[in-house]
Amino acid sequence: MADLAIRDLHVQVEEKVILKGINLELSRGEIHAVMGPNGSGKSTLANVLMGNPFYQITRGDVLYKGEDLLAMSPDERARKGLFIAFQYPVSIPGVTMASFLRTAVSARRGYEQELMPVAEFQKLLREKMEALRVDPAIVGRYVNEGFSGGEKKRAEILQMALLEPEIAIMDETDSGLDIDSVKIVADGIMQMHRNASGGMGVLVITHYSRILQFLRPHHVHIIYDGRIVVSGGPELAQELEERGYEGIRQQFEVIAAEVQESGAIRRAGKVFWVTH
Amino acid sequence: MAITNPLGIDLDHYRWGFRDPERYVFRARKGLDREVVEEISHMKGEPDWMRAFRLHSLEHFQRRPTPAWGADLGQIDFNDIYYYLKPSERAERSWDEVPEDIKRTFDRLGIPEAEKKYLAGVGAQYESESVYHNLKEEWEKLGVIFLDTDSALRLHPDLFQQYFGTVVPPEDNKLAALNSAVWSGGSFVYVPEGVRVDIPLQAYFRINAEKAGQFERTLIICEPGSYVHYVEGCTAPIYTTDSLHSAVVEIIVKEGARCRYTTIQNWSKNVYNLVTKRAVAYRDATMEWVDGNLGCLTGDTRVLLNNDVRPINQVEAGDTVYAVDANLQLVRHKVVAKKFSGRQRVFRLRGANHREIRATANHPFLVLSKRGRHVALGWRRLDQVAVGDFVAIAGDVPDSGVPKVFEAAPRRGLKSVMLPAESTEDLLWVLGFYVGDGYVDRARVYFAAPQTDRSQAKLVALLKAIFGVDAEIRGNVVRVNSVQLRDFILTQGFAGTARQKRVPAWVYRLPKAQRVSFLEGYIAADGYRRANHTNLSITSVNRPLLEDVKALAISCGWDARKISRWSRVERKPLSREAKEYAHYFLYFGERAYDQPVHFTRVAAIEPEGVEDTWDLEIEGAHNFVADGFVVHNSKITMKYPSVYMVEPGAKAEILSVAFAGAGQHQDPGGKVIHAAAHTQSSVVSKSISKDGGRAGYRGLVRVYEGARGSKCAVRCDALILDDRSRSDTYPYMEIDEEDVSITHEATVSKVSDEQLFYLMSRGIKEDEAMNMIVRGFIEPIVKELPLEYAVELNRLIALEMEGSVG
Repeated sequence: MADLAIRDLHVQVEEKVILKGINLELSRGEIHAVMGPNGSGKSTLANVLMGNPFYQITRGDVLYKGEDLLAMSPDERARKGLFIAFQYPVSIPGVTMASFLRTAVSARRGYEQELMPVAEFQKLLREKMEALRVDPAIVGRYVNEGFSGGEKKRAEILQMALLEPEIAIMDETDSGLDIDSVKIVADGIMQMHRNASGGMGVLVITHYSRILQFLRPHHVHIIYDGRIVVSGGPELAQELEERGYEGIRQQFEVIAAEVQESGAIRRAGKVFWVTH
Repeated sequence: MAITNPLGIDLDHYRWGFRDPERYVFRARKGLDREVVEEISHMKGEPDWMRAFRLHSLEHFQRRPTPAWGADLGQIDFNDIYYYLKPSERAERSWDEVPEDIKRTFDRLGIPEAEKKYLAGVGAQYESESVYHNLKEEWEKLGVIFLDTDSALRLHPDLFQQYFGTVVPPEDNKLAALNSAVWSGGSFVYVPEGVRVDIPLQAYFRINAEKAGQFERTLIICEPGSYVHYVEGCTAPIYTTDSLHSAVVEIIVKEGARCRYTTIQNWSKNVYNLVTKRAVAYRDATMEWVDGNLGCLTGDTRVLLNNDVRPINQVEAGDTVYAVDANLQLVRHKVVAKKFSGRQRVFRLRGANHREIRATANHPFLVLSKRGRHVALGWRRLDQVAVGDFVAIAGDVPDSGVPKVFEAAPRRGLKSVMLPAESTEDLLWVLGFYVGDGYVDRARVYFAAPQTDRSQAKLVALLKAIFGVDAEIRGNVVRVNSVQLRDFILTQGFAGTARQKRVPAWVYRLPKAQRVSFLEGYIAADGYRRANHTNLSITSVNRPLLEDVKALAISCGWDARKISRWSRVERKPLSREAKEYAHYFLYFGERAYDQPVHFTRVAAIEPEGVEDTWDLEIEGAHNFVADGFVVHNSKITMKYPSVYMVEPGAKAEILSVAFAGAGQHQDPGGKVIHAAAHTQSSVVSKSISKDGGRAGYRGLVRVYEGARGSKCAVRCDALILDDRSRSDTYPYMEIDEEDVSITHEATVSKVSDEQLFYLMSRGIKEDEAMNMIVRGFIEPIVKELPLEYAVELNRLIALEMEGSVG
């Protein structure tokens, strides 16, 4: 079985249904991209996987290494190797990056009562910062406070490098970054992906295919109106780059109307829809 | 409150009597009048001017009304306080001379690194007088004076008289007048011109004796161009009876000098903390106040089932219960009210010694828990208590019982017996025996007491002595033919068969000797020692009866332990055939519960379903004994450090942080008075409230006419951790000058779900995440503190934060 198996996931916020039956399987060593237009539910998927309490799960389940992921608290998920790089990381005034990172790494590495020894942590931190070309001054600053967009994203990647996840979710990590920064960030992810012992699974959530030039996903999924409507190889991203989401939208509307009538599985062009 | 355990004491064996034996040489009586004030002055051997000053202050105190602004002080009974306590004959100079028990107190307070590092510089206040002051030699050479205030009066009388009472005169307010009349101890600091004291001067103090008012008086004089940082750290670990702390701090900062005064307040909630702190800043001088206000106890009054004499649902207003006081003694308090608090989920907590109690998850217990090298003593909710922690249990309850008076019964039957007018030890022994092995028919009373048993003779003798009856001995049975005796026994609550009998409620209210006698009578009937066991056991078919006996035994300080069930085949004395009986055994241990409070290891905490639950409100205390202890306290902190900027260029900075937990009302703030041109002030207040606590800011900015070009910035940030808590901001500004710049900013924030989620998504547990956010919030204050205090403050915050989640 896949390390992460999402089955028929339905999610809503208050009365609004956002995810309408997501199915996706992802294993360590694989890179998947989930692409979709604004409002299609991409970020919701990422947040739900990490356990953001804002969202209500109404149907479906998610298995992580065979366990019920949805029953775990966010911190438990993180300690078990799940990671999310947030699109909009929040700031925590008064808490330095250094103490935050040390606490987080200690939690991930199973230190119970005490934190990881300072010297060991410093060494690890230095290594990772060098590899990702992060300004060391960052560790003395408060978590995300006053960070530029690029600094925030790089800080997220630094956290990812330190926490060494088994499955990492990148939520629009490329947005708001110039192309050089995208490359640095993507290279960092690829490096982690290659070097991770046991392999690291990556779920890249993105609006644009730009970062995918560097990340080379094995699988690309297109999410539309709360459902994954197309899945394919890297060529799908290329196609989307050329044609935009408009073509997908048109095909989607055709079959949506047909499904309404007959309730069967339909396919129009690349778009298919499985009713549940 | 965390207490270091440097000796690695085994807590299971160590009797945690935190209180030191009070070794006071002189102890003034409670209350305040001319005589007490003169006595204090006389004991201290003070000059006449100080005696006159005290008496003048007393007059003022007696005339002035209690202040109306700020929190309500109406509950303080000024006549119920000791105004002076003196721990030893003289103030010590070197650490070696400090008495061992006082050193131990400091050890238990967990005095941090500071103690070791600055040993020579620490001024420690034990009770109302400093026992030990030692000043680093180089400072002495520089002319720096750092003494307890009493010594300073003796050794530097002129300097003292020149400044004492000039910043806060007794006429200033009622509390200042009170302090001026009865002050004792405190610190005196004098820094000569141009001298910078680089290492903070620190004083620790604590309140020890119950109802010991602390009225220390601190006077700091900074000559032109000098610098000093004075740190006042207070820790009052677990005080649960009212205590008043009313200090006066006077500071004079002369031209170009800078003074910083840092306070870490860690009063337990029951301390009224009413402090007048004031500084005068002259030309270009800077005065900084840094203030951390924390309580160390949390709790509410949810209680279930038994206190040790009655089920809580049978307790009524006006009843008396036992509460733990500041010195871990048990004292009696009246119940003010009982409230039904609905059906709630309850848990059974079982101690290693088989004490048990059922309580709701939020019921606070007095708990010792180990964290690394430290041992923390404090109140914790049941859901925060872990197996392996030590919970406080009642040991030797003070004897406050009274004999029961019996109503005269009408004469019945043929034979007349004497009926006792009131309960006696002998009577209770007989009744105890009856509960074990007695029964009645329509006209007689029987006791199963084999002839081989020494008890038989004793029983017969006592029946004769008490009731004037001659019992008949029929083999193994002692019989009394008396309807009157039969009726007496039944009407006193001993009706029922062996399986139905209980210990009547009135027995619990008897003097201890009578309760013990009852137990001995019962044990004579049902008790025995198993082969190969030295410990006593009691056997009965009646489990509820054994529960009663266990509660009664506990009230006598006996080590009553486990009740277990056995079934066995046995021949009863009057029965011909063997039969299987279900039996219960109550075992006793050998530990003597001779201290009022003991600690037992928590063996298990198990859910017990949903039950009715009750609250008790206790007068004059906020905890009571219910096999465990509960606290609820709601006391007040009011302190508004102030700075008078009286010459151009003077600067004032006030930083304060307040943490209000359940039942607490923290009301800190500050006053800045701009009385000269080009003066600058900055007031930053941070408050945190949780579990229904109230924290706020109360500040006054006063700008006099002519204070041109002055600047003032006030910033109040409040962090609220849950929906039940509050934050209040009361900024007052009185501005009589137009050419000034005044800003006031206030933010109120709640810990956001996004912040929590962010931290948790990195593997950090919810309580730790909450902790980090709170620490971050107070970081601007913490970074102004000397390192060891920053650590201490963070640790206190962490303790306060416990139980804030879920």
